[in-house]
Amino acid sequence: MLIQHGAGLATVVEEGPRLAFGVSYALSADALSLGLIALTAFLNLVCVAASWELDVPPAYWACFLALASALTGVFLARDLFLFYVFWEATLIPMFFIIGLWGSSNRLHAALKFFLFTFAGSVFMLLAILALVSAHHRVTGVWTWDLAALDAKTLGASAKWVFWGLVLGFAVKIPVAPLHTWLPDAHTEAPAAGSVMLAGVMLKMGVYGLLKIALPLFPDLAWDALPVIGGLAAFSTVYGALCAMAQTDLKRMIAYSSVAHLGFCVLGVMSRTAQGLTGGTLQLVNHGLTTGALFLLVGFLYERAHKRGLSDFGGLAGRAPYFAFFFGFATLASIGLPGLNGFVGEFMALSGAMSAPYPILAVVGCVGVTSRRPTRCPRSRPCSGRPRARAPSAPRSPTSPPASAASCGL
Amino acid sequence: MTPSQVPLAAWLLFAAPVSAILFGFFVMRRWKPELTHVPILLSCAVVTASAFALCAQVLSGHMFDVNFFRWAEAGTGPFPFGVDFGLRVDGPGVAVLTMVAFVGSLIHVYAAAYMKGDPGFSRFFLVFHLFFLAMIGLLTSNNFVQLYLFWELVGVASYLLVGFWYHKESARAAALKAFMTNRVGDFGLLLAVLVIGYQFNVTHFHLIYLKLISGAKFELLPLIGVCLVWAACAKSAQFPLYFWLPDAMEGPTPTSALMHAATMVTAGVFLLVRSWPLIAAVEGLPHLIAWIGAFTALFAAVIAGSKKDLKRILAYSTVSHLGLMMMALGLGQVGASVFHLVVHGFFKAALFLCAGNIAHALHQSTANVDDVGGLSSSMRLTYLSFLLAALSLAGVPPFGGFWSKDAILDAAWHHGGAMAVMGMLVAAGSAFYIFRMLFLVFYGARPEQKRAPHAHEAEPMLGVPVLFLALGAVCAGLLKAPLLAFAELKSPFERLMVFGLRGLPAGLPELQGMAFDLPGQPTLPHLNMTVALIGTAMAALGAFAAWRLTMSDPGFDWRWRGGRLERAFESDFGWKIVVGRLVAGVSWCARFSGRVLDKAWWDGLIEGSADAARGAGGLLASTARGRVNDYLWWLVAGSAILMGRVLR
Amino acid sequence: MSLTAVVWLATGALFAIGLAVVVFRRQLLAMLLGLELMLAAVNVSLVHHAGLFDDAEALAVVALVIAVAAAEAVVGLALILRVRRGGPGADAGLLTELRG
Repeated sequence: MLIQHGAGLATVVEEGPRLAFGVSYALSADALSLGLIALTAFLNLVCVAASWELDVPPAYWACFLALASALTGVFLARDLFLFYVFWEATLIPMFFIIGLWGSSNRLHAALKFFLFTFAGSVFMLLAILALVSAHHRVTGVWTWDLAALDAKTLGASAKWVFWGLVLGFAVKIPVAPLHTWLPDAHTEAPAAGSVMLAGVMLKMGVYGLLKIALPLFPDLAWDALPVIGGLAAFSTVYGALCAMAQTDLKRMIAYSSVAHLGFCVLGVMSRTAQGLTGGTLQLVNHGLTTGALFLLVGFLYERAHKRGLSDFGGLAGRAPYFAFFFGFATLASIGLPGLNGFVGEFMALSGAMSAPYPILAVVGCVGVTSRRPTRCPRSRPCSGRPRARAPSAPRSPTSPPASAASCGL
Repeated sequence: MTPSQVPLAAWLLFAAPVSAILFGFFVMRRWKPELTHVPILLSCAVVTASAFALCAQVLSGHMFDVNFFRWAEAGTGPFPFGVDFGLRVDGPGVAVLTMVAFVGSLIHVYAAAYMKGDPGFSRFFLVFHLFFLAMIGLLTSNNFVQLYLFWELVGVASYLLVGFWYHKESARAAALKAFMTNRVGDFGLLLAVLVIGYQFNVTHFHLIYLKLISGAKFELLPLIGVCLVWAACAKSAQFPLYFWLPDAMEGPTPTSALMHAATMVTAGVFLLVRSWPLIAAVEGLPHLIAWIGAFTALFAAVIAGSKKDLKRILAYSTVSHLGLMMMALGLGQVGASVFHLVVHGFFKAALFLCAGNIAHALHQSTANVDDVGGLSSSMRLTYLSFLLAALSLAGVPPFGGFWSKDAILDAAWHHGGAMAVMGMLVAAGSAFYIFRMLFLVFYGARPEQKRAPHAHEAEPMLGVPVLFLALGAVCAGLLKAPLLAFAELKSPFERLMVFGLRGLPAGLPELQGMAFDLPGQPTLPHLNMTVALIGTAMAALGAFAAWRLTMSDPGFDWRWRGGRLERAFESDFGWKIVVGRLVAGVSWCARFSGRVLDKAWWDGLIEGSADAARGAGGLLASTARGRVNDYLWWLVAGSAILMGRVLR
Repeated sequence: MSLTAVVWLATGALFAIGLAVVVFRRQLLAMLLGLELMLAAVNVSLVHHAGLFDDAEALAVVALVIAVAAAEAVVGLALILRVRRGGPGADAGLLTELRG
C-alpha cells in the first residue's frame, strides 16, 4: 500500500528511438502509474461489460479501446512530448463517446468538454515548450525527458511555466472554479462514458500534478500551497454544496466528484507522506466508487429513461439488489469508515493538517461532513412510496463486481 | 502482554457477532430468512458471557491495552503515520460493555418476538446486530481513529434502522434527520481526531494521557476539547443538537430501545469519559459541559411532561438523563456519570420495551395516551415491569436510579448555586413525567382514550425480557453496595472505575513502569442524607403533581391543549423553529450555489465567453459580403500598404 | 521629359485605369478587360526597362506574362460564359456565395 514518490523510483523503463528535436518514445512506470493503469484496464472492462447489450455500432467499442490506450499512454509517458500527445489523444474518443452516444444535449456537452479542456491544455503545452526550449538554450541539448529536464534552466520565468502546467492540470482535475465542463459532460455522456470520464480521465490532472509539476518545481509548489490547496479545499465544500442542490442523479454524482478530487489535490499538495499516500489512494478509490455509482444510475436510466431524483421511489422493494449496491456505493462515496473512501480521505486530511496551513484541513473537514448530498439518492429513490413508473427489478449483471470492488481494503 | 495473550473472551467479543452476521447474511438470509435470528441470538449469548468474563478479569485488576496491527501506514521518520487497530479493556469500557451486552441481548430476544412476521425480518436482524457490534467496537477501541470508525458505523446502522420501514415517508425523513445531525457532530470528532494526530503525533488514548501528564504545553488543546464536546453533544443528543433523537422513534421499537439504552446515545458520554484527561486540561471546558448538561436535563424534562406519544415521552426523558450524565461529567464525577449511564440503560430499555408491548397489543407501530388507559388490569406483566422501571427512573429509594441519581445530585449540591437547584428540579421533573405516563396509561381508562379495551397481555417472549430488564433496574443499585466487594470497602463498580482511571493497563511497551493518575473522580460520593432526603422529596413532589393533574383531575391532559401553550411545547420553546430556519438557510445556500451561482452565473459566464467569441466572429463575418469588388478593395489597400513599407 | 518618364506616366495611367475598371465595374467581362489592361501596362513597362538596363531576362518575363494573359483570358472567358448561362448572370454584385 505504501506508494513511494519521486523520479528515481521508476521500476520499468523503456527507451525508444530518438526522433527530431530529441523527442523519444520513452516510457516508465512506477507504483502510481501501475495503479492507475490497472484502474483504467479494470474500468474499461467493466464499461464494455456494462454496454454489452446496447445496440451500438463497432465504432463505440473502438472508441473505448482508443481511450484506454491513450490513457495508458498518459500514465506511462516519460517524454513530455509523448505525454502531451497522449493527453490530447484521450479527448478524441471521449468527444465521440459523448457526442455520438450521449443523451439529448450531447453535442453541446461534447463541444464544451472538448474546448474547455483543450483550452486548459494549451497552457500546459506552452509551459512544456517553454521548459524544453529553455533547457535547449542553456544546455544545447534537445530533450523532452522528464528525468533530464531541469526547472533551473528557466530562471525567472519558472513561475509562469509552473502556473501554466498547473492551469492545464487544474482544468482536467477539475478544481473549482474550473469545473463547469464536468457536470455537463457527465450528465450527457452514456453511462460507460461517465465511468471512464470520472473514473480515469479526472485522474490525469492529479497524476500530472504529482509527476510533473511537483517534482520539477518543488519550491514553487510549496509557495503555491495556499492558492492550490485553498482552491482544493474550496472545491470540497463547493462541490458538496452544489451536489446537494441537484435533482439529476448524474449531475449530483458529477459535483460530488469535484469534491472528491479536491481531497486528492489537498493531500497531494501537502506533500507529507500520509497526504501523498492518501491522495493517490483516493484517486483509485474514487475511480471505483464513482464508477459503480455511474453504472448504477446508468442501469436506472436504461430502464426508465429518467434520471431525476424525484422520478424514482421505493426501489428497495422492487429492486433489492440494486438498492443494496447503490447504498453500498453511496456509503463508500461519503467516506464511511471501513469502506474505501475513508482511508484516502482521512490520510489526505491528516497530511493537510501537518502541512503549514492546517486551516485547509479544517475546511476539508467541512467538506467531508457536508458531503451528505450523496445520501439523498440512497434515501430518495430507494425508499419512500413506489412511484408508478419505477422500473421493475432491474437485473444488474455487472454492478456486483463494480460495487464489490468498491469495498476494497 | 502480546496479542497472543489476549483472553479468549476478548476475541469472542468480535468473532461471535462478525461470524453471526456473515452467516446470517450469506446462509440464513437465502436459506431460511425467518430463522436469521438464531445465529444472532447465539452470538448475543456469547458476547454477554464474554463481557462478564472480561468484567470479572478487570475486577481482579487485569486490564489490558494491546495493538494488533497497523494500517494506512505512510512515511518514515520519528513519527511515521499509521493507524493502530487494537483493543482496550479497562474499567469504564468494561462497565459500559457489560451493560450493553446484557441489555442489548435482552432486547435482541425481545426483537425476535416483536418483529416476527415482518417482511424485512432478516434484514432487520442483520442491521440490528451490526449496530450492536459497532457499539462493542466503540467501547473497546484503544485510539481515536478506531473510535471514530465505529462511531460512524453506529451512525450508519442507526440510519438504516430508523429508516427500516423505508416506504414510510416519516421514517425516511427521521432517518435522514438523525444521520445529518450526526454528521454535523462527526465533523467535530473528525476535526478533533485530526488535530490530535497533529498535536500529539499519536492517537492512542493512553499515550495521549501520558503526554498530557508530562506537563508539556499543547496550544491546540482547547480546540480539541471543544470539538470533542461538539461531537458528544450531537451523538448524545445534548442541546443544541438534541432534536434528532425524539424523531428517531420512527424505527421499530427494539431499535429505539437499543439506541436509547445501550448502543447509540451513550457513545457521546463515553467519548467524553475516554477523553476526560484532555478535557479536564482545558480551563473552563468541564464547566461548559456541566452547564450544557444541566440545561438540557431541565429543558428536556419539562418538554417530556407535555408529550402524548409514549415513545416520545421516553425519548425526551433520555435526553434529560443524558444531560444529567453530562452534568456529572462536567463536575468531574466520572464515576457517577458512568454509573448513571449503566443504570439508565436498564430502566430505559425496560420502559421502551413496555411502550413497545403496549403498541404491539394495539397492533400499532406506536401508541399515544389518546389510545390507551387503565392497562394495569389487562397487561399485568407489562404493568409490573413499567412500575419497577419508573420507580427506578424517578429515583425512589432503594431502586437503582436512586443511587445513581443521588450521586449526581450530590455533586451538583456540592457545586452549589443554580446547578444544585437545576439538579433538584430535574429530579422533580423526571418523577413528574414518568408518573404522569404511568397514571395515564395504566390507571383508570378515561373517556378520551378510545382503544383501551382492545389491549391484551403480550406473549411471554415479549414480557419476560422486559421483566428481566426492570429487575436489573431495581437491583442496579447493588453495584454500588459495599457488601459485594472483595474484602474491602469499595463497591464492585467503584473498583472497576478506580482500576480504569488509576491503574495501568498491561500490553503497551511504551508505558512500562509509568504509573500515573488520571483526572476525574472515579469513586462515587458517600450517601449524603441531606441530598438523599431532598432528592426523594423532590421526586415525591413530582409524583404528587402528576397524580394531581392526571388522577384527581382526569381530563386535564386534554383540556389545556390547543392553545399557544401547546404550540410552545410542541416547538420545544421555539428551538425547533430556529433549527428549521437554519436547515432552510443551508439548503438555500446549496440551492443558490448549485443552481444560481454555479449554473447560471459562473457557467453562464463561461458559456457566455463562447457566445462572445461566436458573436465577434459573426460581426467580423458580416464585413465579408461576398462581393468580389470588396475583396479587390482590400487587395488594393493591402498592396498599397505593403508597397508603402517597401518603398520607404 | 525623357522617354522613361513618358513610359512611366503612360504605363502608370494604363495600370490605374485597369485597376479602376477591375475595382469599380461589376461587369465580369469589363473586369477581365481591366485585368488585361493591367497586364499590358506591366508588359510595356517591362519592355522599356529591358531596353534601359539591357537585360534580356525581362523580355522572357514579358513572354511569360503574355502567355499567362492568354491563359487567363481563356479560363476567365469560359468561367464568365458558364456563370452567364448557368448562374445568376455575369455580374460580380450577384455572385455572393462567399458571404461569411
